[in-house]
Amino acid sequence: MAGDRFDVIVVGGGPAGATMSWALARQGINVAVLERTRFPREKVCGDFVEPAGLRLIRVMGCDAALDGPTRLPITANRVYFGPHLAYRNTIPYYDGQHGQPRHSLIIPRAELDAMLLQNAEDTGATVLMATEAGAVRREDGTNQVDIRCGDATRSLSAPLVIGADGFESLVGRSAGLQRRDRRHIGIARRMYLEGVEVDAGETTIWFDEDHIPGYGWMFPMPGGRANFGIGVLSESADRFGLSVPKIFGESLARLRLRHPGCRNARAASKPLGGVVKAYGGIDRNHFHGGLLIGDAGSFVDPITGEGITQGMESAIIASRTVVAALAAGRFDADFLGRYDTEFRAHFDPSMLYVGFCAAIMRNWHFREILWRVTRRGFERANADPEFGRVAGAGFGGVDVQPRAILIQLWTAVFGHLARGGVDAVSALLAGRAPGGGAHDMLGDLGAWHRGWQASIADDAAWHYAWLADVARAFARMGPALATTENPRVRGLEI
Amino acid sequence: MAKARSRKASPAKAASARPEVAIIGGGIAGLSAALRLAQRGFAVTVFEAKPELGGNMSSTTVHGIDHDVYPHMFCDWYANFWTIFEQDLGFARATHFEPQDGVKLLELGAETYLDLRNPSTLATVWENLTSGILSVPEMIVLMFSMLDLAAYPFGGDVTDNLERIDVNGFLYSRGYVTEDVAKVHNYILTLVWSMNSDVTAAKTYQDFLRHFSSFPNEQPLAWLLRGSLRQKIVQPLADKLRDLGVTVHTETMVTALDIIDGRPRLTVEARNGVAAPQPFDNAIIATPAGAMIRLAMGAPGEDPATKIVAVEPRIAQLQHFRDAAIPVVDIYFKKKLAGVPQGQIGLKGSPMMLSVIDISQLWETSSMLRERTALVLAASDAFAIPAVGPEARGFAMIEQLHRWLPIFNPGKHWGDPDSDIEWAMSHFRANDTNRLFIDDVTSWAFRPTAGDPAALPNIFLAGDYCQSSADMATIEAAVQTGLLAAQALQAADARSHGKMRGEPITLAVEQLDGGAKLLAAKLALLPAAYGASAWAALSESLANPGGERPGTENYPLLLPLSYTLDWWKTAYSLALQLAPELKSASLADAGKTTLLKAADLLQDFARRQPGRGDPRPPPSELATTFSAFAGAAMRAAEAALTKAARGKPPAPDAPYKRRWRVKP
Repeated sequence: MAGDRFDVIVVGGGPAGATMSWALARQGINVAVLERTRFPREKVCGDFVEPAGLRLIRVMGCDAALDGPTRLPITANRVYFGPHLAYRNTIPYYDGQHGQPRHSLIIPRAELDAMLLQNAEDTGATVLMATEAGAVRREDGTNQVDIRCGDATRSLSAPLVIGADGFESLVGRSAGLQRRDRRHIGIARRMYLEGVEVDAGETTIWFDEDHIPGYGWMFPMPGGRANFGIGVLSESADRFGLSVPKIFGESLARLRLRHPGCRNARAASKPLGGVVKAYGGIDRNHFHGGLLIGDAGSFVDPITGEGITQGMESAIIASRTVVAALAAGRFDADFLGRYDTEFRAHFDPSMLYVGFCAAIMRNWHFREILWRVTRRGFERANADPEFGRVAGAGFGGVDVQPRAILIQLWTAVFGHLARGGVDAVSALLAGRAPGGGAHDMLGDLGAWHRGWQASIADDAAWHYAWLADVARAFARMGPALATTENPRVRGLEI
Repeated sequence: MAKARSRKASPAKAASARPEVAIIGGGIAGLSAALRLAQRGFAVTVFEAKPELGGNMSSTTVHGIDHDVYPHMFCDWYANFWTIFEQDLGFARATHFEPQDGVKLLELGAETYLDLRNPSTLATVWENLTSGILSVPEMIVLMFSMLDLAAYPFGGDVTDNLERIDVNGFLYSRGYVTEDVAKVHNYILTLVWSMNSDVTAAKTYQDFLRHFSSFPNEQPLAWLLRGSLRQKIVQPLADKLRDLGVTVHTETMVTALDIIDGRPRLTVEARNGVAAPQPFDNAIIATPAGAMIRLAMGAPGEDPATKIVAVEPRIAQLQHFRDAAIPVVDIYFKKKLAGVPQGQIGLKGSPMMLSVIDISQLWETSSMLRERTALVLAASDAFAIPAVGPEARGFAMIEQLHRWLPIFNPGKHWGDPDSDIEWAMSHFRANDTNRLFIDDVTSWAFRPTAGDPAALPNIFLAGDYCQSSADMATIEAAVQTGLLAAQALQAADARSHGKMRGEPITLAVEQLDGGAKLLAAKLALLPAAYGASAWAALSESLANPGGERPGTENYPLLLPLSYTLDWWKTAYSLALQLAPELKSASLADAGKTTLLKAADLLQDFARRQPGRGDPRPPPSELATTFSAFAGAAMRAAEAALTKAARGKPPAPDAPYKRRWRVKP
């Protein structure tokens, strides 16, 4: 039975679980990883790994994942607003700070996850493939995990169990940490395309006015293949009757129209749906005898929906608590609470800012003004790389520095309003009708007003509750305004 | 000790025996206390020194005509007064009172009257702004300064020196107030309470303003009685007291009050001589402050050890209190005067601070009033009357009235038959013995609470000089303090007998608008006030280049600084109101806490809103008015834009919508 006892059981072998077991195994900790499927397997994901994630993968020694022949470094992006190309340029915030590569990569999850888990196994972790974990029971200060491998069932035990088992985390459910708040849940759908002819390393994302709050992506891979998908906020889909399959279908049709390189794109796989739970929904990620990491711990960017890098980072942070807990022999929630403090220090500055933006965007009635504002932002970033580098990083979820971004955004907003005011007055003086033009302040105010009216007319109770949420999101972000550097950029010490 | 003494004093008295209560002073405070205590089964005796009951609410009857001490305003918020009038006396307010939605002002030489209305709706606010009393920007500043004072977070401990500032001091501390605005404040205070803004406590004026702030619920400014105080209020109340078995001694002066064996003993002097000192179980002193002090301190030659001041030395400080007389003339004319409007009229700029009411239009029609005009003329500044002797003073007031209202012939002197005045019916009174308590800045340090049973066993104080929720010299303050004294007496009686006599005496306590709401309103209107102040300063410096007042031309340059400071101070006060724990928080935490608190308020508000598909309540009058106003402004702007764009309508700001031509 000794073989069934571990120091740590990690449930889930995705990037977070694999990173956690690698981090523990390399310190000689007896760790088991349970993976329900048999790798390689397909996974609903954008497959997009940002530079910070690539840096971490290289530190873990998984160079094979990065340098394979099927890798296409992503350095540029185009952004469509409807049929309008608002941005076509290099990605300005890929600036190589703190040893990050100057590009991101599209790594199909089937390959990435398999390589990371193999790496963990090579480092000394016990990997149990095709092994399904049942409920986690806490008995006499230790965790019992019932597992099923094929027809065989047995029970593993460990003082610590790590939930890395995705958005529907079984471990989280056993610990009573379920998240069902649809304000923080995104729904996605993706498939692979072929026949895509695009410039090397240029991704495409798009916003459609009838698909807000949400966006679509097309991430190219070598050989004319691409990862194509869309994501929307669950709450809005529910409240405003947005149908994810319908949006998906419309988006593909529109992509073929708007992107010359996608005219002949064809489906190369079946569309698959997925769900992400965003950072804002976290209450706590620790419990008696365990922690939640990755998607299970809701480490997902509320705007981009990215979670690979965050998942791996949360695993590294959690591994410190695990090491300390094993050294101290303490596995109670009070002791494990230090994990929450640490991951908040690491993620709060960026995630709370992005969460604040996401909270604003929840109101579907404001789609017109949000659409106008974000489109103008992308256009400005296209012309002004410094704007793209600072403010754009917020939108991309990379190098988010709330204070710098807010200063830049508000300077831009005031400049816009002032210019718009001057334009309106000079139009009047010249005997033209005011409005329109690059600084259409009046049009913006009108759009904002219409959104406000529509929102109150539709559901006043929801409207004011939403406003309260926006205020709370800002209040929570507040302390992050004092930080001048985003800890995620510097990276974690390993 | 006190307990032992009272037992010794009434050894034979069983708990069921009716305690004897002496009420000294038959004004509205004493009568209110008498009413409630008699209803609860106390044996009440009222002593009134004058021939008629009512004190400052009394009327003297001369040749069959009632002359009120002075005209009273009965405000909507006089909750406890209205309870007595409507519930105890059983009268309908609308039958006996005339609602007044504002006051009129008459300038010297003017033929039309200016209207100052209760700013309880947007419409009346607008009317006030354009009333012509001040220029529009200064009217904005005036109304905003009222809001500002109403919202100002005084600390609550009025014994603090820094809390004890007068109205002028407060106005001076505001960056935006102009001299003319301060003048109007002074005018209002002098007219209503005969005291200047440089002695009125800002805190008192704040209470007054808070009581009046009924926006946006339309409310009359006040009600005026449609008859004499004797006929409509005092006599029915006296009848009611008689029915309840209250003994009332008029023309009976209490000359001494001694505490003998822990019980009050009264020495009274009636018209027919001094009676033997009479012991009571309890006494309520409901006289004006001056008479109360004389009883409390005693006279030379009396035993100082048995006086109230021996038990409660602080009461000596009530000698700080001041009061004022408001001389009044009732002028009965031989004929109807044309063109006198209804309601209260202030003669703006008159040295005696005259105000006048035409009672022949107000009072119920009688044969006496049908054929003639009758004006009640009050001089809020008695010291401005340049004459001695009642007839000379009365005539001086009439002459000054005539300058503002030259529609009658006043004659050459009082009693001049060659005039429009029916002198035999007219009546002047100096009101030297019906003085109004002056709630000045100093008084705040000494105002006692109504009834202080801990310090003064069995003796309770009532009168509008005591602290109440009205906190200014008003009928409501008098009624409230009377009820508070009765309440304290009933509670003390219950403590000593172990059983409450009758239902507990309750007061209607008005819920005043919280400071947070007013502070939020102030914050919202701050730009308008400072903008208006700059506008006023600018127009003054344009009108008088060089400026009559030094520094006026540079004053607008300082406004942005004052504005910034005021904004932050107000925002901070508001934050403290919403979250008192902020006082000890760091700045970042304070911001966060404030925002979270605001979010909670918003969430509460959201809960009260209709959700999707819920029936929508009809929009409030405020919302309707506002959207009508905003709509009109938008249409005007649109028309102006269209015109400016030479007839071309502005480009419609159509949301971006392009039809996607999706291939099948």
